[in-house]
Amino acid sequence: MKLLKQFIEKSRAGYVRLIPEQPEDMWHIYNLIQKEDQLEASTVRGVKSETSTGSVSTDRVRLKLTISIEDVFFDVQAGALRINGRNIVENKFVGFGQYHTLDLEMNQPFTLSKPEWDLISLQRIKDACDITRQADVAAVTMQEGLAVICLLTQFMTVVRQKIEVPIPRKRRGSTTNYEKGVQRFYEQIYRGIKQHIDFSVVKVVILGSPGFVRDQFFEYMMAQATKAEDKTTLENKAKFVLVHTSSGHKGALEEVMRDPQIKARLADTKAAQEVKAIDSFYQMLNNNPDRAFYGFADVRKAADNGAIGTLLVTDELFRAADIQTRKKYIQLVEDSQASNAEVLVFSSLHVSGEQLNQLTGVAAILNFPLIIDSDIEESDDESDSKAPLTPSSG
Amino acid sequence: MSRHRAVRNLNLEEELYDEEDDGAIYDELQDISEDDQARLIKGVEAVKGAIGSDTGIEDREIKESLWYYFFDEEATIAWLQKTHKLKLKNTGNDHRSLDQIISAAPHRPSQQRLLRQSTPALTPLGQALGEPKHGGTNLSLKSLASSGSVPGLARLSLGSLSQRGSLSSLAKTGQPSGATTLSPSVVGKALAALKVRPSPEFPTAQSDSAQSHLMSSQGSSFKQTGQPSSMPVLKNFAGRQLPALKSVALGSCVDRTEAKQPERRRAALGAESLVLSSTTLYAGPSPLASFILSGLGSDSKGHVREVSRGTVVAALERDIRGVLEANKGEGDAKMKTLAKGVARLKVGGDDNDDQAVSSGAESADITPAVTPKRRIDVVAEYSVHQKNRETLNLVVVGHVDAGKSTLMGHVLYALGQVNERTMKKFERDAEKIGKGSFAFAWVLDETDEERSRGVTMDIATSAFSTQHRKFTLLDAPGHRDFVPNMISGASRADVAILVVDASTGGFESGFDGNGQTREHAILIRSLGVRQLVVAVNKLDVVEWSETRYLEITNRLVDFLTGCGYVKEDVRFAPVSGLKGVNLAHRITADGTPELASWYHDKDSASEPGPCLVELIDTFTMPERPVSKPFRLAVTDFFKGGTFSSANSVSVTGRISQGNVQIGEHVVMVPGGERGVVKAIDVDFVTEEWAVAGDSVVLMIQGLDIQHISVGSVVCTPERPIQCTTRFEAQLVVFDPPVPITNGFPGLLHMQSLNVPAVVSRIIETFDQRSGEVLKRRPRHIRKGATARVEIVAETPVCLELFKDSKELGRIMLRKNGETIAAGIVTAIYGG
Repeated sequence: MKLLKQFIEKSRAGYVRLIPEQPEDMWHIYNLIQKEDQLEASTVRGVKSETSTGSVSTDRVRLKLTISIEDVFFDVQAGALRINGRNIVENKFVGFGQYHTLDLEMNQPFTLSKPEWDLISLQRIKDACDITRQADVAAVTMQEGLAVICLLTQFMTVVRQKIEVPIPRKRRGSTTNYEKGVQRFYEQIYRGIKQHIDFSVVKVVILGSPGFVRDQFFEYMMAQATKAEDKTTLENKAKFVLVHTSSGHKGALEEVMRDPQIKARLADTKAAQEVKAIDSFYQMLNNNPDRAFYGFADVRKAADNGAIGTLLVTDELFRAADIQTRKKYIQLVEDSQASNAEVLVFSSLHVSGEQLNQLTGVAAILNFPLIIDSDIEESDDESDSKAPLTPSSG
Repeated sequence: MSRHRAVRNLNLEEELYDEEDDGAIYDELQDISEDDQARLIKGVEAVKGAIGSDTGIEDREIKESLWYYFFDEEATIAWLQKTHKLKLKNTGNDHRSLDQIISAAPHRPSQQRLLRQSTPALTPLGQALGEPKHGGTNLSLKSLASSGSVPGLARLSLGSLSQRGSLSSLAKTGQPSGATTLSPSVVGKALAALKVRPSPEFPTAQSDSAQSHLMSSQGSSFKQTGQPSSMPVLKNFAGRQLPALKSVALGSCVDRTEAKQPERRRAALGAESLVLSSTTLYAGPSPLASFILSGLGSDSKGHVREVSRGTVVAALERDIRGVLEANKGEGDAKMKTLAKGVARLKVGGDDNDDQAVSSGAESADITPAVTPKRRIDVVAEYSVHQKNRETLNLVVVGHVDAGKSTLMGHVLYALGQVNERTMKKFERDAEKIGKGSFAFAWVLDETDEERSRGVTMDIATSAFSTQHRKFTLLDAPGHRDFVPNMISGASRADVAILVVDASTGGFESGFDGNGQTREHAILIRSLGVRQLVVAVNKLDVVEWSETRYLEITNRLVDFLTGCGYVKEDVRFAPVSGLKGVNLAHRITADGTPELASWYHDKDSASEPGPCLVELIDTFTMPERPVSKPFRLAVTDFFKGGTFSSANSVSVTGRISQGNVQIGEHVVMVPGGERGVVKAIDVDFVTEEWAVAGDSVVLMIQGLDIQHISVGSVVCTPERPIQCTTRFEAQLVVFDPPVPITNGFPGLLHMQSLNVPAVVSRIIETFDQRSGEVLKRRPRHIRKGATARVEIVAETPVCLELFKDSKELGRIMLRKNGETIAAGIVTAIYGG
C-alpha cells in the first residue's frame, strides 16, 4: 500500500489517502474501516436519466463519491472489499443520503477519514506500507487423500484450494486401487500448484506432510515437470522446502512455522512471530499458570496491575461493530504499552490468530504471577463462551 | 494382470492337492482291495440273479449298494428294488413335493448342517418327543418316507439317532417323560425357544456327554420314549417352516417306517464294531451317531471323513464311507431334481427354505434363511452359529521396527495362510532390493512404497484361524506419523498383540521418551482393548537371555497396569519373528536350547511354555451387541468388488453393532443416501449376513461414491446415527506439552476419521474416582486430569453416546502428532 497523504489533527480526527497495491492491502483496509467512517473513492454507478419525453435510460457513470460507511464485506478468496454506505457529498447524479455500494479497486487511490484515529489503525497503516516486511510464501500441507494449498503473506493465510481425493486403502491381494488413487491425488496437487502459485511473487513453497507423502509428491512433480517440459516448475525447484508436519490439515501450518528450516527463512515474518508468541503463552500456562492469562476480564486485571509482559490480541476485536468494544480493547492495548508491554496484534487470518481467537481473542504473558479470584473469573467466562466463533475464512 | 502372470502365480500345490482330495472322497470304489473287488463282482452276480438282470439297474449302482451294505446281498436287493421303484415314480411325477426333495437332498454339507442344527435343536424336540401321543399322521409321513433314498436315509437316520441321543439324556436327567398331551401351542413355544436361545444352554459338549450316557442307558430309555409318539409332534414342527426340524422329523419317520433295511444294516455294523458289540438292535446305531456327532461337534468345519479320526472303529468308518459313496452315486441324478425343485421354490416363493439347500451345495458354513423374502432372523442365526463365528479382531501394535509385520507375516506363514511359492518369491525379491530380512513383512506390507522403505504405512488386514478362534488380523503401522492409521485399526480391534523389540537399546528406544510402545499401549486401552499379549520379539539377538526378558516384562507389567490393564489379561511370550521361534508351535529343547532352558509351562516345568498362537487362542470373546441398530463406520470404500454394477460401491469396516443381511436397505450418514446391500464379505469369505464385530466388505447398490467419505456411517434406516459438529465429551488428558484451554485446537480422531476440532469450552474438571467436581469452568486442564468439555468439529461427525455404543462413542484428541486426550461422548448437541 502506498500512503499518499496523511492529515490527522491533534483531536485525532483526520484523513489518509492511500493506494492499495496488493490483495493483502484489501485486508488492511478491511481492518481500518469502521462504521461511520467516511470514504471517498472513484466508483461506477448506474444512473437513471429521464428525457423530456418520459423515456428512461440507464447509464453507467464513473464518478467520485464520498460515503458514510454502514457495512463492509470482505471476500478473502477474491481479495475484494465491498463497502456500503450513504452518500454525503451531493453531486449531479447522486443525491444526499442515497445509498451506494462501492468496490475498492486495486491501484485506485481513496481517502478515508475518521473522527478518531487510534493507534491500532495508525500502526496498521504503517505495517501495510512497509514493503520490507513482505514475504510471500506458499504452503501445501498434505496427508494421504487431503491437501491444502495456502498462500501466506504477512497478514493473511489464504486457502486457495483444498484437495480431497478418496484413496482406497491397501487390501489383501491388491494394491492397484490404492496406487491409482495416489497417482490421482498427486496429479491434482500438481495441477493446483501450477494454477495457484505465481513463482514470480512467491519466494518459498513449503511442502509439509506426515510420513513420506511430501517426498513422494515432490518426486512425482519433478518427474511430471520433466516429462511435460514445465519450465517454471523446474526452474523453481530450489524454492521448494520439504517439512515434516503431523497432518495435512490447515492447522499443520503452525508446525511448519516451528520448523527450524522455515524459521530461518521466515524469521521476521509476522506469522512466525505469532506462532512463537502463542507457543510461549502455552508454555507459560503449563509451567506457571499464574503468569498466563486469557479472557478480557483477566487480562484487564493484569493490565490494571501493570503485570503484562506480552499482550496477544487479535485484530478481529478491533473490527468489532460495537464501538464500545473496540474502545475497550484499544484502551487495553494503550495501557499495556504504557507499562512497557510488548503488544502483538495477531492477524485472525493466520492459523495462530485463529487459535488466539478461539482463546477469547486476548491473552497475556505476565511479568510476575498474579492470583485472581475465581468467582469473578467464572462469571466472565460465561460471557466469553458466548462470543461468536470466528467466521470461517475460506 | 497378464495371463502369463496369472499362470505363473497359479498355486500348483494347491490345485493338485484339491484334486487329490476330491478323488479320495469320491472314488472309494477304486481304492478297495482286490479281495473286496472279487467279492463285489460275486455280489453283483448274486443280486442280479435275485432281481433279474433286465431291470435297468447298472452294475455300478449295485456295486455301490453292496459296498454300502458291506456285501449284505439281501439289504442291497431290498434297497435296489426300492430305489428302482422310486426312480420310476420320479420320472412319472415331476411335481414332487418339496418335502421329498429336501429329504432326498443327497449332499454332504446339508448333512453336516443338519447335524449341527439338530444338536441344539434336539432337546426341545426331545421334550416334545417325551410326550406319548398317538397320531394318524403316520400315513402321510410314510408316503414321504417312501421317496427316501439311501443317502437320504443315512442322513436322516443320523438325525433321528441324535434325537434319540438327547432323548435318552433327557431320560437320564430326569425330565418328565410321561406328561399329558402336548398341544400345538406348546410345540410352538418349544419352537420359539429353539429359535431364540438354542446353543448357550445346550452346547455340543453337553450333548456329547449326553451321548456317552447313552451307551449305558440306551435300551431302557429308548423304550420309554415310545417311538410312534414322536411323529405327529414332529409333524407339527415341520408344519412351522423350520427346515432343519422338518428334515429331522422326516428322518425319524423314514427311519421307522423303513426300519427293516437300515436295521439290518446296522445289525451288520454292530456285529463288526468293537464298541457296539453288546448293544441291541435298536441301540446299535445310537452310539454310532453319537460318535459322528461328537466328531462333528468337536470339529465344526470337519468333513464327515474326518469324523473317523481315531475314535471310531473300522466299521463306522466304512459306514460313513458308504454314506459318502451313496451320496456320490445318487448325487448327480438327484442334484438335478433338487436344483429344479429349488428353482421352482424361488419362483413360487414357497414358505420353505431354499437358501439352506442351495447354499448348502456350495459351502459348509451355511446360513439358512427362514424365507427368502422375509428377513433372516440374524440374531437367532447368530446365536445358533456363534460357535463357528467366534471372530476376534486382533490388532498388532508396537514401536516402529519392533518387527510387527515380520512377526505376523511369519505367523500367517506358519499357519499356512501363505503358500511356499509366494514366500519364496518374497524372499527372492526382498533379497534383490537388499532387504532380505523383510521377506515375512512383505506378506502384510503390500504396496511398493512400504516394501521399498521397509516401513508399514497403513493397516493391513488379513485373516487366520487358530484352534478355537477366528481372527481378523489388523497389522498397524508403528511409525509415529502413521498413528492416525493405527487408531483406525485399533478402533476396530477387540484384542491386541503388543510387540516390543528386546534387542539392546531396541526396547528402550520404543519405550522411553517418544517411543510408540507407550503411546500405542495407552491408545488401544482407551479404545477399549482389554486383553493383550506382549510378544517380546528379537530375543534371539540377545541369545534368548532370561534376564533381558524379565527386565522387559517387569517394566512393562508396571507400566501396563498403570495405564489400566488388569494384570491377568496381560500375558507375555518370548518370540523371534524373523526366525519363527515360539510362534505357532511350542519350542523344543533341540531347536532353541537357550530358550527352552528357562521358558517353561506354568503347570509343568518339563514342558516348554505356551507359544504365541496358543496365547491368542485363549482370548475370551467379548459380548457382541448384535441386536442393536445396525452401524458400520466406513474405513475404506471403492468401486468394484464381488458385486459390481454401475451404481454400486464397496465399503469396508467393522460392524460396530447390530447386523446386516443381503437385500437389506441401509442409509449413509451424513448425506442420508439410501442403498441396498447386494453382497457381504466377512474376512474375505462371502456370507449372507454379518453381525457386530465382523470385519466386512459391503457391496451397496444405489449409493454415489462421491457422497461417501471415510468416517461416514452405514446405518439402518429406522434409526440412523446422529451427525453433529458440537458435542460434549469426558476427556482423560494424557501428557500434552501444553495444557488444554478453552479454544484449544487439535485433531479429533474417531474410528478412521480425523477432523480438525476445537475444545470450545471446558465445563468442569472432576475427580476420576469419586466423580466429584474439582473446579467449574477452569481456565485450563492440566495433564492427567479428567474433565468435561464441549468440542466443536470443523465438519459434522457421526457420533453415538458412549452409553449407547462403546465403539462409536469414543474419541481421541491429538495435536502435533501427539495424543493428548482420550474421551467418551456424553452428550450430543444438535447442529
